[in-house]
Amino acid sequence: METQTIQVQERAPDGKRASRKLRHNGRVPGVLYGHKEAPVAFEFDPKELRKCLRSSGVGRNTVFRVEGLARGAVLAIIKESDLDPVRREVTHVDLIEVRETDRVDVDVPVHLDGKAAGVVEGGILQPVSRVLPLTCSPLNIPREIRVDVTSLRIGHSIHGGDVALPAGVSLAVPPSITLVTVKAPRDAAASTAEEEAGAEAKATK
Amino acid sequence: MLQPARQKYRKMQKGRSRGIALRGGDLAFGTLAIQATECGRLTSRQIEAARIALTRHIKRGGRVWIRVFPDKPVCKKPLETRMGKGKGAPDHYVAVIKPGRVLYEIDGVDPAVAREACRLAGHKLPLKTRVILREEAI
Repeated sequence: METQTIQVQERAPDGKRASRKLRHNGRVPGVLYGHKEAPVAFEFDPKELRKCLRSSGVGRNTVFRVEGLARGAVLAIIKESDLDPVRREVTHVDLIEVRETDRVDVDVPVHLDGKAAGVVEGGILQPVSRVLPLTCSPLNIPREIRVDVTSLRIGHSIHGGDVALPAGVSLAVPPSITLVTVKAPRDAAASTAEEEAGAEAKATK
Repeated sequence: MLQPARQKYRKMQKGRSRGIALRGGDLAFGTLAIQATECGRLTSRQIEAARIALTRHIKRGGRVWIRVFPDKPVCKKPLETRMGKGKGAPDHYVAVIKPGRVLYEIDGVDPAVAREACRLAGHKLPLKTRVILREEAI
C-alpha cells in the first residue's frame, strides 16, 4: 500500500481556546503519539486530509507520511477522529506512529458479493459487522474483505473464521465474529393487521 | 405508539434545548438515515407517523430502526381551566432532539427508494431533517 503525504505544522498544546481559534481559522488540531515518543501536537488543513483519504482509496486505514515535524517525517495511521455531527467536518485527529516492521490492528470494511440464496427465498440479508478487525503490517492493510454470500440460506451466517484472508493478515478478534446473516422475512400480513389495529384504536378515541 | 413502560416520576419540567447531539449522531445499523439538523421535540405520534410513511414506501424487504424514544412526559391542564391549582396531568410523551441526532435508519432497500421514503417521512416531522449515508467518518 502506498503512503499519503500530509503536511502538518507543530503547535503548542494550548487547550480548547487555542483549538477553537484554530478551527475558526479553517485549521484542525491533532496529536501524534506512539512508539514511546513524546506526544506532538500539530495542526493541519482538513481539505488536505480529505484529499489524502479519497486518493488512497482505503479511507480510514490510510497510512500517512507526516511531514513538517521537528523530528522529521514519520509514518502514522489514524487512531481516532472527532467529527462534528451536524456539519460532518473533522474537528480533531489522533495519529499513532507506526513503523514498517510493526503489526497494527485495523478495521477493514467487509464487502458482500452476490445475491444470497436466502434473499431469493424471501429472506432479508442482515450485515451484522460491517468491518472486520484485522492484524497486519501497516504497509499491507487490505483495501476490503470480499465475502461471497451467494450460498447463504435463511437462518445461516458467515463468521470471521470462514473468510479467506490475504497472506500476512490475521484476525484480531475471535473467529466466531458474525459478519452477515439472512433473517426470515417478517410476516407482511401480521404487520398490516398491526397497523390497521393501531388505526382503529386511534379512530375510536 | 412508543411510551415508557414505567417511570420513576410522572411529571417532568419543560427544560431548554442547548448544544448539539453528542451521542446518536452516527449510523449504527443501517446504510441510510434521517438526521435532524435543528433542535425540537418529537411526540410519539409524530415518530409513529414517520415510521409508517417509511415502511409503507419501502413496502417489502428492508429494515427500519427507530433511534429515538419518547421518554419525556408533557403535562397539560384541562380546557377552560383557570391558571394555578397545580400542574396539569401527563398528556403525551416526547423525545427531545438536538441537531445531529439520527432519527431513523434503513437497510436492505434500493438507495433511490430509501431516499424517497426518507423524504416522505421527513415531511411528517416538525424538524428540518436530511438524509445521510453510511460512509467513512473521515
